[in-house]
Amino acid sequence: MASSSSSSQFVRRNIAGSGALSHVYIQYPPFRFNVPDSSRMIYDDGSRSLLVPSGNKMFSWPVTWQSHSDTPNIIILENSHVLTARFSLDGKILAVQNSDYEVSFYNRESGVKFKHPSRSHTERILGLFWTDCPACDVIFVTTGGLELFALAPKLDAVKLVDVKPSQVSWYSYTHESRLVLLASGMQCKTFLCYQFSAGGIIRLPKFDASMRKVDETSKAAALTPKDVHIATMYGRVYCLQVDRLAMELNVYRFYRDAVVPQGTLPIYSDTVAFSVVDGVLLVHQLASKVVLLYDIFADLNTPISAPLPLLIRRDIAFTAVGTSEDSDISSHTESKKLGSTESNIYGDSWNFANPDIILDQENGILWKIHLDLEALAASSSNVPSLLAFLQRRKLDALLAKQLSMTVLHAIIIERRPLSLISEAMDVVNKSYSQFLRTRAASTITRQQATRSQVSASGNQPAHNRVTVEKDTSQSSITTDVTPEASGNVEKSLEDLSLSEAKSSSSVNALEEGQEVDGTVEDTHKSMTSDTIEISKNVLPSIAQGNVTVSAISPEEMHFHVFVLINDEMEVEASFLAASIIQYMQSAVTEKLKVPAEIQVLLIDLLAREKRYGEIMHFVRTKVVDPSKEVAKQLLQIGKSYHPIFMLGLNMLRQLSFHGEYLSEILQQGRLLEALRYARQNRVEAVPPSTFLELAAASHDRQKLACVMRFCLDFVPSFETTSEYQTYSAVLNQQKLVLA
Amino acid sequence: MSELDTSVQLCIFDTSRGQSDGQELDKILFFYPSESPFSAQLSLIGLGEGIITFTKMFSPNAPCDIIDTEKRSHVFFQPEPDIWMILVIEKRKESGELGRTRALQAILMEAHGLFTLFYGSIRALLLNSPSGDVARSCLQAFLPDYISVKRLSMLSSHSGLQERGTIQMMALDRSTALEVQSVVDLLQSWFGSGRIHHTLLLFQDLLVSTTLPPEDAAHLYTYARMRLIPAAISTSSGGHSLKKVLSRANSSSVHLKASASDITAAGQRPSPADSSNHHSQFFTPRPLQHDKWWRDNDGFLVTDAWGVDAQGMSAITPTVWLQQSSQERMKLVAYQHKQLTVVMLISVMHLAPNADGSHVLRNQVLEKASNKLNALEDRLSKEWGGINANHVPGYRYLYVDYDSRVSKASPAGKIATLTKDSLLSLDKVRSEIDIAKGRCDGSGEAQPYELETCVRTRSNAWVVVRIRGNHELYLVLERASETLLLTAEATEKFSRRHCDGIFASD
Repeated sequence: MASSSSSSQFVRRNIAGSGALSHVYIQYPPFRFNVPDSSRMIYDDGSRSLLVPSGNKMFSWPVTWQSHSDTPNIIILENSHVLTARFSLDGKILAVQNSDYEVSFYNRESGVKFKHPSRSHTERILGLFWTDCPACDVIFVTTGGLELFALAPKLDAVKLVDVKPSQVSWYSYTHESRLVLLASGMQCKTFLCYQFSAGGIIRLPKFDASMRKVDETSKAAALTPKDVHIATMYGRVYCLQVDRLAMELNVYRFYRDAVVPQGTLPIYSDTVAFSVVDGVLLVHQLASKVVLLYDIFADLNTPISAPLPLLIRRDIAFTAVGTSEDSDISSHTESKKLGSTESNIYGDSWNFANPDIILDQENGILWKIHLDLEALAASSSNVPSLLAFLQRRKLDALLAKQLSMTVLHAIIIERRPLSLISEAMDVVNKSYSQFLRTRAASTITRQQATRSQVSASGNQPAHNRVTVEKDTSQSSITTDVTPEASGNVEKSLEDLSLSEAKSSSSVNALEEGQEVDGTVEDTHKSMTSDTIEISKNVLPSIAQGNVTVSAISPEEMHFHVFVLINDEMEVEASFLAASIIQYMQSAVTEKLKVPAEIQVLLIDLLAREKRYGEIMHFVRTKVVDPSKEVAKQLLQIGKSYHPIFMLGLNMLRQLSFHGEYLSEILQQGRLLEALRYARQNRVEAVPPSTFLELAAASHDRQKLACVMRFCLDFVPSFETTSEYQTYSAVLNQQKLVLA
Repeated sequence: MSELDTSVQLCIFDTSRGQSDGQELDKILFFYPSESPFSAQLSLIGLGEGIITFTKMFSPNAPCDIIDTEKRSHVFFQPEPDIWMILVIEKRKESGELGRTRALQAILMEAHGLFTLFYGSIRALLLNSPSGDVARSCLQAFLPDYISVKRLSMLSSHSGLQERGTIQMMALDRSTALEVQSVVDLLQSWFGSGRIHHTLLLFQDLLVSTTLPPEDAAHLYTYARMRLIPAAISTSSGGHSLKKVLSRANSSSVHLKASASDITAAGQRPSPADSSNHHSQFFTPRPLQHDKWWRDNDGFLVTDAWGVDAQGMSAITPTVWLQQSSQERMKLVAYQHKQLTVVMLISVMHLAPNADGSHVLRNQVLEKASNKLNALEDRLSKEWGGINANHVPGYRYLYVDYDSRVSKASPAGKIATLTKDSLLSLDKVRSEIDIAKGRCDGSGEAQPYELETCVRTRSNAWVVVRIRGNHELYLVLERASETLLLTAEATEKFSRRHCDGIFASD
């Protein structure tokens, strides 16, 4: 069990994990509340807050996982009957659906309340959601279609803007995808989807859910909202649809102008529920009480892990989430309460909210699901795909990075086949170069945006916009994806520019899943930023002004993989050298710069086995970049093999490290050559006394005279220096001795 | 045979043998042409030994290089202690002067290097079998083939811009070089660690990469160029003759004998029953025999120059001795795809006795590496700059790095455009430098030898020589600028651009 404190930057992870009892866990303590007479919990994914109506009050908590014991916001309701409720995206206005025909609005700041009745009594209101779409602010879903409303300027009324008529049996909406799915038809298997995003409204083509006919007699039951789930994974939007009779899960991907089936997964339980954690799809098989994990970038047909139950993790010292002190207190006070009621995993009262929230309605508990990366790493045998999986982690990037490095370390130590190591290196380097490109693109557009911000005022804060993905032929719909604004940078500016970066740097990056997912809201911080907040404390040097990523830089590769292995001396030099070659090869393919330290290490390893010929070959073909460090290493090795020494000397000279070059040839006693060189290259760092001392020490009168002459000719006002006096005396003395 | 051709004679003798009277013949290890009467053989050796003894009085370390007479030259070379090679070349009027002594000695050096590659050192052979029979049969199996290949170059060795025994490298891009290295490492790892000890990769006749130390690499490279590269392997028989040999061998044991004796009859004594080392060989291999390598259907090169195995089922995998790295015997397996030749060496010690690891290796390579190797071939052929890739307009040059035994020179076609006068001048300059270097070697000075020379020839060409330790640069500039200063500048420019600035004069 790796309960390593995260005080040191890179704790080597022990892949043994937690005994692999589960790959997914919920962290104890959960978020719990005590509201008398509360009947149910509502999770509003738009504002990321928990709403609990009780009597004529509405209690609400922002779900941030930083401060559990926050006192709730309370809004007094006029009508205690609450079907559903949602905060506006800026958190100011609460919309409460009181009945099938009426919605009330409460302005939290001004206290203004107003009601909005249904347009007609033939159409029931099924639900509502807020949107950041420029055309409207709030949308009602009714049995007759969608009704788009805009807030009045004084925020005291809503005005109908548009109607999108359609037959609706039920609907499904997630704020993350900005996508509403309207089901209609006898079996409710005809879907019509709209996306309401900052970029505008997109109507997607209708499509039918595929229901396999098991046999002629059985009649397929109508689809219910529980059977359909909109999932956002790596910024892409998918629809998951359960076919209960066939025990199958159909996966569709939404593109701007098409809905494309992606395949079918088997399900093993009558009832399933879905969560998405960090881009990974969790299919909860409720009957068998296990969860299966799928990664859309890996093979969709095979889960990335064995079916294992969901676990409640009670150790709070564990890294990423919930390490704050106040949770200590709450856990202390609440620990006794954790009875059987709290641990009834997959109980009937569990509600799964998008994307990774579990509401325990009966006990008034809110859980958040986490991936146990260590357990996943421990159970995976396919190293390249495991590394690729780890490199895609955004939520717990630091841990993923550490685990990746541990995996790399392990495969070399264990002397796994070199081809495997080569693949692993490719994965790592691809991910790093992807990261560099994304970062470069966002920096450029950030600069541009800063400039345009000056001239163009009144920009809409557009943190959530749809990007159109140039995906071979089809353009796909993705939610945007705003990398966390870090530090104290002015928020709106940051958000805007970053989302522009996204849309303009279109968008291979999205394809590769390199995005930082999650969105930054105005009032509430996203989960992602919380995580990063914490890891920043852990890792001040790395996270400085930067998002922690799982990508491993060549420097980290050197210090945390190669050097470690070299120090441990568990693997022979030739194998480590071969691994480094594989790494360099893939790095160069990805146009990454290999730091000189790695190359020095490579040379050192080769020299240990006396493979001098290969060192010379590497230097000659520039496999090893010329650098001062490399040159010094060559000089060091050259002590036992002269040609390598010459190679190092020549490299110094080529790179114009005059001082180092001079001191080397002076050590060899090549005094006159050194003088010539100094004059030719105008080296002034070496004082005349060095040359004179050496010449005097050689007891070669001619040599000393030469150096004197040289100094007289080329050192300005040499006659006035004390050295002149000293050494002309020495010269005269030697002359006398000779005479 | 009507008249014995004595335009080229080569003899090898051991001064430590046959000390007593009447045993002089025991000294002789090899004589070419072998039909020469013993009297002629003995007189040549007598002369050689006399001269060596005499010159040793003045220069114990480097007794004698050459006897130059009106009609012929005797070139001396001492490859191993007490073992001497003398090459006698008849001077012919039409070809004028013979080449540099060093160039001629380099032929002997190369011959000896190749010999040791396949049989080990002569001294070791003599120690193993004091009668000298093994050594004699090996030399006899090897040198006549060598002479027949090199005969022409012996007679006219005006090759001032070539350096025998060095490696010509293919110029590689950094990422290609890394890819090559990565493929080589993968290749070696696939066959289990440490089993493929060394590899040598050639593209056409250029070396791409090797894990061998320079000297062994140079020997193997020379051999590969002579016999293994696509241009050198046998095309006439299309790879079927071995099968023919084998199928003949299979059909009946009588034929096996016949086929074996076919080969042995080609002019060598079967090796005596010294079977401790050579138990799998029932005759002395003839590595240089012409037309003995074929490309099999699976891309591997096969030869029957090492004979076929006892069952006559397959050819015996050739073996080589590495001198510099491990003094070990290695099996040589070669794979070829289009222009790419991969020579792999497997340590015999790591194989089970009697096991021929080459089959395992073949399957491994075909299964895992062939795709990578084919892709590499593609990449290399795209990168290959053609036969004139090394041409630098305006310059005719030779750059030798004796440390890694690598040389780079103007393409032969471009050198041929030089006037004879320029080449002769270069040859003369080089001869003098050889002598100067020889003196310098003897003096035992620690500092690297450095030299800069510019010579103006009769035909107004410039011959420039720059030496920095073990790096040497020879330039011939015809129609170059008039002045010495401009020539020096041109040299500096060349050094900066093509030799990493090694030859800068400062």
